[in-house]
Amino acid sequence: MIKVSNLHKSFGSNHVLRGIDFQAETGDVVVIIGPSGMGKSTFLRCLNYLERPEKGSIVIDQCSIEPCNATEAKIAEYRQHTAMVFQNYNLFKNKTVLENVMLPMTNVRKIPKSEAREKAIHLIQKVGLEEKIHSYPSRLSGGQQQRIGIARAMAVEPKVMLFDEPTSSLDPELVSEVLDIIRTLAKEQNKTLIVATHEMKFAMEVADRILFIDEGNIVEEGSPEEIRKGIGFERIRGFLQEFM
Amino acid sequence: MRFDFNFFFSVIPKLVVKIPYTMWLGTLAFLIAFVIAVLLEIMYESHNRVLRWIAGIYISYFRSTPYIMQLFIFYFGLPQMFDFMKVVTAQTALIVTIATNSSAFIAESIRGGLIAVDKGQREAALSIGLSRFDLYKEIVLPQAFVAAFPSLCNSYISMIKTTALGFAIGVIEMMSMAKLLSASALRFMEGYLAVGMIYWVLLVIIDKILKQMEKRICRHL
Repeated sequence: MIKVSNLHKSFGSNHVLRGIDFQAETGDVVVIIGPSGMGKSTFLRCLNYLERPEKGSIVIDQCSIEPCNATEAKIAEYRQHTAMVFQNYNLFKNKTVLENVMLPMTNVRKIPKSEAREKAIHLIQKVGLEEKIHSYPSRLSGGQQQRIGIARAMAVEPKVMLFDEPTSSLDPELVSEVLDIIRTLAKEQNKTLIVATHEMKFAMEVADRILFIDEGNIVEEGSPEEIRKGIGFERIRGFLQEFM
Repeated sequence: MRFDFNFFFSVIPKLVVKIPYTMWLGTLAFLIAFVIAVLLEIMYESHNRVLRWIAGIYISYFRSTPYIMQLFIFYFGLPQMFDFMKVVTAQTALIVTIATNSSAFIAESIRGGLIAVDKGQREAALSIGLSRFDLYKEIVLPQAFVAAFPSLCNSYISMIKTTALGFAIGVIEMMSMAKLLSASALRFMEGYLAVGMIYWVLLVIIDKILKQMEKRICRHL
């Protein structure tokens, strides 16, 4: 379970997050949509503590973090419960696919090398790239890099996985291979997935809940069912029409 | 006066035997310079204003004054002021001067290499929970080294050439040897041309080797 209370973040005079409250259970798939530059990314980055919020607490199961107790050690502990998939993949360029996926296990979770290797191979098989296991990221297509990015995030064995527009920098023909993997993860129901995306069809298909963030707050929120039928989702519907 | 080919060819073997010494001087100076450069870079990036200031002055001094002056200050000047400096040999003075001077330039190369590692990878490393130490050990330093490698090679090559300054304080490396041999026979053109050819061939070979290494270590990035 993840629970966010009254999260605030500013960059200078720009108040990007204005008191976000949010909660999700294990197995939930939450999709965040909204105009660019209105806080989706910042929200996810705060959930990974890549940005330090000014105010507000985040609780994942027993681990609670807020700006006043966020020492370097605390942040490191907290980060083991989360993992991030980046828009630009951000694979480690000096490491092979296998080493990229092994690193969270060997250097953070301190799993013995042979065991980490086995687990890493299993994760790489899961994203369907076992033939690339010894390749360097520069030899991979964008879609393949992102699939490895997902495998690396899974290697953290996080309780919450964060996807920051995972398909936005991909060529259109490569988007589906990445979405397929997220879909599979969504079905497994053993973690919370929080996905910021502009793929509206995908959002309506996998999400348990869709949040619309604008001006630093969650403006509307509902299940795809409710959004399809119900009233009071003008912002989300408007957004959907624009993108679908 | 005619060009004396006999003398020209006769000095070449006497100079070639000095190649290992010249290489040793340059290489040792490079290794020391690299260590100083890393310390400088750490000081320069630190949050301590005094350390940053010291590093800044150091870099500025060595970049903006003549080599030969730095050498003379170290070898002739400082021993007049400080007795303990009197034990410093010419060879040590040469190595230390080349190392301290080049460290200022190498520090800048290292900074360039560090900047070349994109922010995204640093964030990814933090996001999976890597410690700051591991972030540098596993991700940043290996890539920074590759990015800085070509300019480190340039520094190394220029340091080997700079050992020729040894003639000014009586270190008998290859250039001094050429000077001595030429002067004793009054055959300057032959002697200096010979040493020039040897430097040229030597550095072209070193450059080729370094370019090969560069190709190997840069292939993944």
